[in-house]
Amino acid sequence: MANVSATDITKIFGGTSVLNSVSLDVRDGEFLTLVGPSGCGKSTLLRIIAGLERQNFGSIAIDGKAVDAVRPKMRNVAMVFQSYALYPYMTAEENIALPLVMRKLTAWQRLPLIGSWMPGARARRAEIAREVQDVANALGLGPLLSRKPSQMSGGQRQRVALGRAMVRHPDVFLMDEPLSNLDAKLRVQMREEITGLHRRLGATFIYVTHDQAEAMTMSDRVAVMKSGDILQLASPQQVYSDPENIEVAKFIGSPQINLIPSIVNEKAELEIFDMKVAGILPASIRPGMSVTIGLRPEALKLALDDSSDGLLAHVTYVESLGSDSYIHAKLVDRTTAVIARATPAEAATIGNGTRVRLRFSPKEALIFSDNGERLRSNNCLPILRKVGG
Amino acid sequence: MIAARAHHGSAALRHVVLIASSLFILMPFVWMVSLSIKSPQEAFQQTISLIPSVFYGHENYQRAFVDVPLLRFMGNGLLICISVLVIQLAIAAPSAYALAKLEFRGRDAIFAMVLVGLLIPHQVLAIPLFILFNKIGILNSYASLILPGVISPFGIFLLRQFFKAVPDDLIHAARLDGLSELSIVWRIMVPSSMSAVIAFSILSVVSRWNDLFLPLIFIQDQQLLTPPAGIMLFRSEEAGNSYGPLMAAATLIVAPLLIAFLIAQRRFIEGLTVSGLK
Amino acid sequence: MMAISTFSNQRALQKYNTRDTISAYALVGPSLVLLICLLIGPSLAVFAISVTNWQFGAQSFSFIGLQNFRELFDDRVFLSSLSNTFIYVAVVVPSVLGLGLFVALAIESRKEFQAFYRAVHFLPVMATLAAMAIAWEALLHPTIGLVTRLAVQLGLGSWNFLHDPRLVLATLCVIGVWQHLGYAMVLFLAGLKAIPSDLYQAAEIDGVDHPLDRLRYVTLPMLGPVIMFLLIVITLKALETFDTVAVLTQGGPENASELLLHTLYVESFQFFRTGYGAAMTVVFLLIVIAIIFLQAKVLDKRVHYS
Ligand SMILES: Nc1ncnc2c1ncn2[C@@H]1O[C@H](COP(=O)(O)OP(=O)(O)OP(=O)(O)O)[C@@H](O)[C@H]1O
Ligand SMILES: [Mg+2]
Repeated sequence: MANVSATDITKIFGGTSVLNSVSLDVRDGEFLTLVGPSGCGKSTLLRIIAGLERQNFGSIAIDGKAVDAVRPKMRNVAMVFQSYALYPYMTAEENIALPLVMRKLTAWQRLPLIGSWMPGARARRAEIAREVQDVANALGLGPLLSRKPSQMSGGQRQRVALGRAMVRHPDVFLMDEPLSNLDAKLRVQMREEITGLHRRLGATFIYVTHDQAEAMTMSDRVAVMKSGDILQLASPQQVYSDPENIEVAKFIGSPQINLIPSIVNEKAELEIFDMKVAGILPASIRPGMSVTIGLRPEALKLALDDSSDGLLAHVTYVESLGSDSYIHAKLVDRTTAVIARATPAEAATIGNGTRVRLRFSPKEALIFSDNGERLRSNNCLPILRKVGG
Repeated sequence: MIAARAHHGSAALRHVVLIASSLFILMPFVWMVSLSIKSPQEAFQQTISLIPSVFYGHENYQRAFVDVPLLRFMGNGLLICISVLVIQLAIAAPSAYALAKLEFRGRDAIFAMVLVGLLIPHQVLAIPLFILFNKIGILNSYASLILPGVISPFGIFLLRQFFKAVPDDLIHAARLDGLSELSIVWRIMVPSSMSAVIAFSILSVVSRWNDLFLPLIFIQDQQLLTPPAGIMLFRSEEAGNSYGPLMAAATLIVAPLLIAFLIAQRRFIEGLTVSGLK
Repeated sequence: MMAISTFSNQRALQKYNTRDTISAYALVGPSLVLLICLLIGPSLAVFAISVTNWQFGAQSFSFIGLQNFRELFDDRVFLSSLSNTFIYVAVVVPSVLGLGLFVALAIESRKEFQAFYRAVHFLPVMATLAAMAIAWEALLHPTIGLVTRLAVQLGLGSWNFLHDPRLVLATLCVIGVWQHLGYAMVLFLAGLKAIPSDLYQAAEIDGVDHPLDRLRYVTLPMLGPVIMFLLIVITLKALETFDTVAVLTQGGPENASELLLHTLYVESFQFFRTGYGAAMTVVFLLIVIAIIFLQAKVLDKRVHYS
């Protein structure tokens, strides 16, 4: 088993840098997910770790040893591609067997026709066939082994691609959006299969996706990337509830986090339109600064207009999902749109145009400076304590 | 560093290999042009030089036109290429449309015949067509060169493949707009399969212009020869003593297609690929 | 009432269908007639003529069964023509495919001068072969030829490529490779472009990282359909070789460069032995058909089509 570390990886394509000195430590046996918008460099980073692409600067180490000069074959990593990249002219069995054939047979033993007469070739071939069979059984591919990829469904191809990766027991699995070509239902099923696989094998998994549901449900830790940088590397819970900056907050969570402009007044209170909130600001903040407040939809609680506190809003649209409802509303400036989560019972009492108050606990408000930095209220607790005591 | 050097090494090796094979390919072209601008004395000198000390191209090229009716040959070639192409398309496009988009009894049988026709080398037809043309009295005429080419199973096949990809809705819309089936062919199918039409046209013209077999068999009258047969005549008349004019004539015959190719290289290569990989 | 209306409706529909069918036949009609008159019919006629002793211009002819064919296989010229043709195909086809693939791989491997090299190698495909054969003759000419002069200057002795019976077929083979190489190259280039880079990357991770292994496990199988197509097309083109023989050697010396199509031409149109020529044509056609079927049957199974 192995940990993987990338140090200061920089990759430049034709003059533009697509990875800016990225560093990443993946622990032994961890399931780490790279998420980020399209084109942010996820696949590039993965391919550099695999050795398929060469970084311009920086170094990759697997199990503590630098592998920058090591060919992909020797890095003991396996990769599952978005397109599966199965060999269309080989059966499932041959596809899965190829990594073993290339490693366990000598060039002589691999020769067509006469190869199988070379000493030891048959025993090795039999051994390979056995291992392929084991993997196929583990993935439920037994009856499909003699089919070619064109005769298989998307999910089956996906499984063959997994089998090809598993068969040589690599220390590290690299997966580049392996589920993005499957339909929604199959995707959920394969998600479970892959996490199950991770638990059973105990290998290190580095998984690329731009589907945040995958990232949140499958991983031990998530690395959120944007335009060639890792913005935050933390547990799924943490990137959701404690994002380092506004980009992470915006990327993680669906529906998107509500972002509301606000100003700090002389009394070091936050002024959000007609509402004032005290006691959640970090000490470093000076009066007159403008900041952005981030509030998750579930942090906003619905109250009727006549209640005294909360943000005044006009409901524009009620979106019912059965178990939950999302209330779309505009704040008093008539441009800032927000979404609040409500129970169906709450939602039933309102309609388009209803004036409501959206209340929230100051603890749940995430504050970002103008340049997107998260402003943490380290001294928030003392203030509260003072108020309370 | 080592990797970088290996890179340079492979780049250099690639050029060495490709320049060598390019020389092999270009050799006859270069020698042909070189001889076409050399004087007879210089052509027979034992030294190896590509560029003559005295430019004799003027005389050679002039004689190429005077000794044989080269211009006439090229005109014949052009006339035949264009007539064949026009008739081929006029006949192939409607039937390709019917085979691709219409349901009627016998369609599969007719398509099977097209496929069989695709496999018959046209040289096989020489004897029966010779007899037929003799019977109807068109041996030794333009018609005898045009008629064998007018039906092109390949053209029907290629256009059918492309017409099949045109959405049915387009045809339905056209019918609702009142277009006849024939005008659907020319106003909808052909314009939306232009790449196939161009590819086919290029292949048709190239193979017709370059064909030696049919004119050699069907034509006796010198005035009706096409360029390939014409240059054979020229060579047998000169009997190997004046290479300059002969090479000049060869250059002139090869030039039109090569110039067209160099101008529209992508089209030519695409056309070939399209027709090869369907 | 109901019955009548459905009946008349039925009639109308039928009429409608008939009109459709008529327009379909009108569209395929010209093709069909010409296909039968100028292709299928004449091909069948060849078989009929081949069992007669017809000489073009003769007043009468009679049915002689398979005698033409028996005579063919006693005919020294035809037999050497047949074996020359097989040798020619056996040399030219693999060389064109091998060299075409090699050149295509070399061109594809890097970006510089791709279009230039491609254009150069494609020139012979476009060039009028009869004219280029004359250029080749000048190139190989014993006195004015560039190649012969170079050979002399390099101390390789003097060669007579087109008049030495031991060299002439090899020379024609070289010209055949020269002529068809570009065609194969262009199709290989298109095939190579269509191979997804993912597949090469997957192969690299699987341990396929030697260039020869890459060729064997990825490139060649992915080129399967192109190779298959080229094998048939180049074989047919090689079988149909005529221009170089007619211009350069007329089959000589000592029939050493006699190829099937040229022999057929001489018998049919210079000696006007029509029945005999037709028999030869039948043999030619059967060879073509046999090769197409053989290659389709044997190779198709081993090739993947996506
Ligand atoms: N071979 C290449 N040449 C030039 N630019 C490239 C190359 N490969 C990737 N890029 C660029 O690098 C950037 C990052 O690409 P990458 O494939 O890593 O994105 P990604 O995060 O995987 O996106 P996606 O989610 O769409 O797969 C993109 O802007 C892309 O255009
Ligand atoms: Mg990607």
